[in-house]
Amino acid sequence: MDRLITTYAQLMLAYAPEKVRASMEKRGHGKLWKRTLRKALLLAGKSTARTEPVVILARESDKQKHAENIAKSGGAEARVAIDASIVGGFILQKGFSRIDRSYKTALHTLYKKVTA
Amino acid sequence: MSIIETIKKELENISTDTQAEEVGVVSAVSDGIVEIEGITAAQMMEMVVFETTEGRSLADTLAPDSAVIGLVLNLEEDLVRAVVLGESHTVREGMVVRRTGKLLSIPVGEGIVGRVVSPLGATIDGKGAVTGETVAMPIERVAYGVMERSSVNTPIHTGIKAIDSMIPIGRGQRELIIGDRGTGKTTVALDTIINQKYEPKETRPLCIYVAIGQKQSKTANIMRILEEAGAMEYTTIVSAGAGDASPLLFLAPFAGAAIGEYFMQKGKDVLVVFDDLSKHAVAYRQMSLLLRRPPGREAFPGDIFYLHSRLLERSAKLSAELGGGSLTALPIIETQEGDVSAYIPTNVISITDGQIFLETDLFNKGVRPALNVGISVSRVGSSAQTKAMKKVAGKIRLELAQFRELEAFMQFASDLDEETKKRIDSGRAFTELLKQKQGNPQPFYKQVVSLFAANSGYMEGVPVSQIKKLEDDFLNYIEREHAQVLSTIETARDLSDEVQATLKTAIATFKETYTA
Repeated sequence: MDRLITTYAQLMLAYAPEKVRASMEKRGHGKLWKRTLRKALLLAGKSTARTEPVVILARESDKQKHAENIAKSGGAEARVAIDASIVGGFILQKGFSRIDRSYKTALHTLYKKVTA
Repeated sequence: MSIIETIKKELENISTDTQAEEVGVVSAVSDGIVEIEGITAAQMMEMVVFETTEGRSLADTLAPDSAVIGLVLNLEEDLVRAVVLGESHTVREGMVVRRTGKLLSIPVGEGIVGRVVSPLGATIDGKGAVTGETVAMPIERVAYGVMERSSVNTPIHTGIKAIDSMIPIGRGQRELIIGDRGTGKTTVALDTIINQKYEPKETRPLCIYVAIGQKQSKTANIMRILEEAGAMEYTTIVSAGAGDASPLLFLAPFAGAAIGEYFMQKGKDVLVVFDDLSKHAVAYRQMSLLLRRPPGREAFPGDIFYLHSRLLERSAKLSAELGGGSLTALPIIETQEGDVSAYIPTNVISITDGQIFLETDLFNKGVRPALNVGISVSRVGSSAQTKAMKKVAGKIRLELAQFRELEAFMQFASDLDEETKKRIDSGRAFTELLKQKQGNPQPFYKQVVSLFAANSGYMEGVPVSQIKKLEDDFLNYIEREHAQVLSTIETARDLSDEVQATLKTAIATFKETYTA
């Protein structure tokens, strides 16, 4: 059932929703319309999130500090998100590709190597 | 190297490149199963790490064992499904997932002997980490091929007369222990482990007891029994309790096999007990249904046979070129109401090299171990018996088979001829002789002496209720007066004519002076 709804939802992202609905009614799957619509909205939100590049910084002022490195990594047009827990540095994420130059990850890796 | 120096060295070597890495993102979490988008190049059984450090302070992320690991089990078109091996409540939708590029493995070293570990190799006996160097042994491994093996010809003694005489097990064999609940299956396995303390240290098998889906109290009790018997010094317990998630129950026997293979590759003999594979099959079914794999017969996945066949095929007797080590498996299966024709029991029966049937009726009648020798078999047979045992064990099976045939007949016949009465009395005496108390395995040299005496007729005329006392008194007499006989049989593993003559004289002397 989940797979069917996901397939219909993916079709809705590619084709006109009315056409997809008509096709579902024809196949006797009209009752799944609301769930399919919810799933399609979810997929649409996710796919945007997946493709839009995001750069995560510890504070607003780090944007200037790391601007050169961020631009070198292809994140010049990326949306900025602030997460103080990364301590410093930056994380650039685009889709399923990630460049992690945060101080937290570096310190965490150092800690694991030293205590191993 | 001090910690400061280590830190300085690591800081000097810190990489400043900005190379992108492929990561996945959790798209759904449910019942310990995680759907991950993005890491489509992941391998089957690859470990992935969930980035639980996101949003948490540095101090929180430095807590020990804070990493949550997943195991990739489904490779689908747009996503992979992984099972969480740990606290699944910490995994959230949108979390970043990193590939490790490594297949699941367990750290094994000499220090794992005598310890209680989880299927992932973490110690759970409260005695700290495993000491010494460890090697990452793969949980899943292809079994050794035909040419890498040699024939099974060395016995592994269980200490149970009925098994060692009539259903002998060899090193490298798979012998199934099957029966209903409460028939003594675990007891047979534990007695086998305890009996290994009578083996010389150089040839003593290392033992691994894999507890799958058992109550923690039962596992703790088993550990106590083994400690009291002095068996924990050569035994490792791998425990995945009833409260653990089904992926850990699924991995437990494979972890036990991986530990066994580490020692087998070093030329040692290993005994692995899987207690029990019925619970293992149920856990695998649960995991497969959650992974949306199509259910087959009794809702088990289609590869349930392969699950057990690839596990048990890892038992082997290696060739001399590979060190000559062996891995003997004693899988346990629990039946329901004696139904050995059910799905999982028939699967495992067809995989193993023999089975030991334990029956509730026999157990309730007081025949313990409740072994049905008529339908129990060892396909390796006398190749896995010492010469001494072969000489004394040949007659017993026939005696008991004839006794079983007559047992039903004698309830109705009131007037039996002398020959029939003799066979019935002999059968009853042998049945009584083969009974053994729990936790009381007998070394093989004592078994040989006991059976030799029984074959020579020293039980004739002795009431059945006195047979066990007769045996105990006779063995004490031999230990006292003819200890060299026992040591000769132990070292030579044969019954020479000289030893037989000594024993005949000893039996005659004992009978003359014996009063019950």
